[in-house]
Amino acid sequence: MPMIVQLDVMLAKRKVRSKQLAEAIGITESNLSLLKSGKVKGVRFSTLSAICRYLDCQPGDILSYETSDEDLRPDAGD
Amino acid sequence: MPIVIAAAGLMPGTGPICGGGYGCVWNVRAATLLPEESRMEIEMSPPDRARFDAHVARTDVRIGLTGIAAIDLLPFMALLGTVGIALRRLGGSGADTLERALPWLRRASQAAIVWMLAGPVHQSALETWLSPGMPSGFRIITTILLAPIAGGLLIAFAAYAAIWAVEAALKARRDLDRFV
Repeated sequence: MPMIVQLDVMLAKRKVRSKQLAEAIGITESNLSLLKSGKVKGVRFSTLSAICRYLDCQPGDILSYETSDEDLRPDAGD
Repeated sequence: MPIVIAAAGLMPGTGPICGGGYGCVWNVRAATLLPEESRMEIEMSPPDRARFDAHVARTDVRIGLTGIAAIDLLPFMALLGTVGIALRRLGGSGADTLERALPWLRRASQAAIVWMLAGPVHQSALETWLSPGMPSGFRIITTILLAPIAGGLLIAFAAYAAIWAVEAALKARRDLDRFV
């Protein structure tokens, strides 16, 4: 599942620190760190909405997708 | 437990007899391994009883009885062992004690199922193995009585299903924990 999280780039563009964003959207810094490194299974819409609202961006600014045929398998990534 | 299995084979039908003002004594009566009907048949005829005792006294018969005792006692041993390990895991420290104990509880429920099913196999094998010493001679006996095992079997299956459900729920929770 080559989903690339570009939150770092967005944080740098907006000059916002991770701690600041974590406090603003109500998640822990460790969870935000996991999200930035892409080591999570999924992102809740509520979390994504809060990030987009705070950073004034679109989901596509944070997430991008790299094509992979393995994603056509229903159980890929489990 | 291996000692119990060996003792069950080497001293078939051993059990305490208490009362009568004489305290308790260990009595070796192989005929007690047989069902009531067959036992009465042997007990009422001294020649038949002597023949049966002579059959049971044979070394090959006793070795066979040890193997047959293992059919019943090995699953029981597995049940005791797995429950013991599960309790040890549950009593351990750390946040994932339940996760570490559940696989052992699942194995315990599987051992309980096998133990319940082994009961009729054990009884049938025992009666077949002892049948050459009985008046009717050798015959293959299948003793499958569902009533004595049905309750235990249902409880064992229920335990397995409950453990499976808890394991599935914990897996689902772990998956959700990886969502931010």
